[in-house]
Amino acid sequence: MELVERLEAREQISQLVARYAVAYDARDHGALAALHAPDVREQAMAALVAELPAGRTFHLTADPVITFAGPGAATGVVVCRAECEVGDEWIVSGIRFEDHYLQRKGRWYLAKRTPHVLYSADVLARP
Amino acid sequence: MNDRLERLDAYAQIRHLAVRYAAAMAAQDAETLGNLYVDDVRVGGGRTGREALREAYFGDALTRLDLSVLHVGTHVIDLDPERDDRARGSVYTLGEIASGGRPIRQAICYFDRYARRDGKWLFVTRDHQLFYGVDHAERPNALPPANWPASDSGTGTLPYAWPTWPAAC
Repeated sequence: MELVERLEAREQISQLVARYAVAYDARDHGALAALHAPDVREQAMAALVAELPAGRTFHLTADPVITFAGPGAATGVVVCRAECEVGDEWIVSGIRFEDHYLQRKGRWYLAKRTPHVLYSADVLARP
Repeated sequence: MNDRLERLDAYAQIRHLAVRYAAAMAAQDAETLGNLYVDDVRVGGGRTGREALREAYFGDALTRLDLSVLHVGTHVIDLDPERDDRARGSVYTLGEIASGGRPIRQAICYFDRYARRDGKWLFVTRDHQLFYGVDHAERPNALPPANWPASDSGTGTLPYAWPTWPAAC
C-alpha cells in the first residue's frame, strides 16, 4: 500500500470509529447501518438494535490502534470509556473494542466488533 | 495528489486544534486560546476579534476555575465537500472542572465550525452542548436542567436534541 493511501485509510478508519460512537449515543440507526460493511450490515444491525440500551449513553473513544492485514482489510483496538444510564444507576465501563475493518469500493467499513469489558461499575462505586 | 495531501493535513490540523484547546484551558492560557480562532471571530453583541473573545470567554470566566482538565476523545470531522477551506466537527470531551472549591465532571459535545486561513485551520465557533454536569460525588441520572452556561451542573441538551433520539414513552 502506498504511503498516501495508508494515511487515508487510517483517517477513514479513525473517522469510522468516532462516527460510530456519536451515532450510537444519538440512536441514529441510519448512520450506524451505513458504517457497517454491506455484506454484514443486516445481520450486524439486527444484533445491535436488539441490545441498544433504553437509557442515555456516552462513549468517549480514543483513536484506534490500526493494523493492516492485507489488501482491503485491517484490525483495530479502540479504548473506550463508556457511560450508561441503567435505571437509578449510572454505569461507567472501561471497554477495549477489537475491530475488523473491510474496504469496499474504496470505502472502509466496520465488519466486526468484539467488546472486552475491563470493568463496569456504578459511578459512585469503586471498581 | 495535492488535494489528497491537503485533506490529510486538514484532518490532522483539526484534530490537533481540539487538543490544543484542551491544553490551553488547563493552563488558563487566554493568549493561546484566542489564537486558535479566526482573527475575525464573532463574539456576539456585534463584537468581533480575538481580543473581544478573550475578554468575553477567557477572562474572569476562565480564572474563576481552580481546575479545568479536558479529556478530548471521539472527534468526528466533516470536511465541506463544496469548499476546501471549511469544515465542521463534533468533539466529545470529559471535563474535570473545579470552581469555588467544588469539583464537577461535565460530559460535553462541542459542535465546531472550522476555517482554513493562510494554510492554518482555526475555530470559527465552538458550540458547547452538555450531556450533563455533575458533582463528583453524585450520579448524573435525575438532575434538574443545567441550562448551561447559566449553571455548570445539571442535565444538558444531549442526547435529547438529536432528532434520532427516541421520544420518551
